[in-house]
Amino acid sequence: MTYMILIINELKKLVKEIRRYYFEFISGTIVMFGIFLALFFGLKSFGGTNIEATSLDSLIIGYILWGIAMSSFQSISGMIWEESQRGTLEKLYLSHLGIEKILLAKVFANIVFNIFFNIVILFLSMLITNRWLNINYPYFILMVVVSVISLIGLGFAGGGIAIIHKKVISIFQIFSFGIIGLMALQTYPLNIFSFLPYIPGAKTLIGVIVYNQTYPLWWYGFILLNSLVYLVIGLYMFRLYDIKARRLNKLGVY
Amino acid sequence: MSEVIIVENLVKKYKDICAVNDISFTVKKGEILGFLGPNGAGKTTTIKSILSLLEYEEGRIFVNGMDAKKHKHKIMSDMGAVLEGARNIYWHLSPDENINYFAGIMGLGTNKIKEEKEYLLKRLKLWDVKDKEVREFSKGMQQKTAIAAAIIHKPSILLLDEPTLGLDVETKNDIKEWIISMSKEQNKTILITSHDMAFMESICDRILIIKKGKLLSNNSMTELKDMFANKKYSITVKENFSDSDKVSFKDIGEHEIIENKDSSVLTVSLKNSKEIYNIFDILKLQNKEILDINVKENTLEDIFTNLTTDEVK
Repeated sequence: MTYMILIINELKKLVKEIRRYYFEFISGTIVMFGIFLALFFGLKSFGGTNIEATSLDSLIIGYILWGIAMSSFQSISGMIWEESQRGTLEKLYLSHLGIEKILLAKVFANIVFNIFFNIVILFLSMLITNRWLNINYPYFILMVVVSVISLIGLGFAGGGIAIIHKKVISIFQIFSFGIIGLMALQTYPLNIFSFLPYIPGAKTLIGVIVYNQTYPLWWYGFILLNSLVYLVIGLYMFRLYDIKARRLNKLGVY
Repeated sequence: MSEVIIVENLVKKYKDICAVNDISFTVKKGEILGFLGPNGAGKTTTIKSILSLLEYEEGRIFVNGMDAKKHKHKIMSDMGAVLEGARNIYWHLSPDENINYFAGIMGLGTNKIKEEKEYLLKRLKLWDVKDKEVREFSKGMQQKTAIAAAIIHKPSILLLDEPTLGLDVETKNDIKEWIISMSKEQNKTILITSHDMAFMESICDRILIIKKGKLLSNNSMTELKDMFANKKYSITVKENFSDSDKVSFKDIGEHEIIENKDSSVLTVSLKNSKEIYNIFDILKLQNKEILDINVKENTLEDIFTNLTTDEVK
């Protein structure tokens, strides 16, 4: 029940912020969608008639999955950093519910919003490119949520580091773009790249949606385990940095 | 009155600098305790330690009988705090939205706080602007919003770090009245830091004076004034004092004579006001015409200056 109140609280704040700053929101959406269109039609015109249909479909779904990954990771580490810069992070610590619970609720609200937002972008992408992908939406959402858990972990670790080392946030932004490159790697069958965060789930989704591939049940178990390990490590790192920040009085120093 | 905050031998260091050095004090239920000290004295560090926003090296803190380190989350359900600086709230939200949000992070839905929110917004004169963005507000109104957001969950303990810094007189008075009413009518315990001596003198039951992390004084306002109960008398007389006149004042204790063109001002500090008659007798013998008499009581500022410049007297 407490989690529900916290999540609804965050969603309400998010909606109010978007309503109040709708111009920034709309312009951000246009930029993101514009980049996608440039990529899609660029690939199509350079590839000419030789370009495979699956490449275009991969681009559509890959772009959406990258968008979700980027916004999820950045929303967590960036959010913690931003609260610390604003000076409101200390206020969040003053809740008897504990900072982790509050940040998890913030993250959950952000991710729910990001997934919804990116599904709308996906629909618009399919509409404009006239390439209708065969997507099982409950499966898609479930896989995205499971995969994104690993990025929540990394986001917490990044946020913890950013409280102490404020300037590190720009490196994280570069990392978010690095996810594009990582999405070219093969993660199945099991190999060293399968242990990367988020990528195994994202590649599995592309395999299922674009190439109609099937995966054994253990593979889904592995993706879940992979995500949970990153989450636990991330939360542990956040706790370590949180203790360090409180020792050095860095929570409210901006 | 029971003690709701107990600080025992608190030590907080930043590398080689000792920000708080072995401080102990208690705060009683319903009490308004003031924390005075120059910049860097350790006031904010102490407040943040009580709120578990800082890890301290030594000492123990108890809030409502609970060890603050062991129960750092639990103790927060009965505490509210407005920290130093302007960013206690979200500037892009309105007072109404800020209060709703901070109630939410205390696990309270909007239905549960409806009455309290309305009461606070009206009491703090924010009702008419409750839907405007806080960024458009004056510093005073932002501070009032921060206070409302900090106490929406009705805590019985409130920690206010420099709540009047940079505020105009009217807002300062509003906040002063409101703090007093919270203590007297709702029996809330308030720990407050401020540089504003007159403000502190007018609201605090007891004052802690801290300098360089050391507690110099922990006394009620009455005790503090008794400690420095000397009254300062300035007697202006016609003409200047001759050297022989001056000799006659040698037994009256600490005094100062300022000579002007046609008059002199004799300033003397007396613990017992009846001693002034001795001075009048001397002046009568010298046949001096008294033009003016001015009596000044010690203010908190005088006491603070005495303590922080000379350490413990």
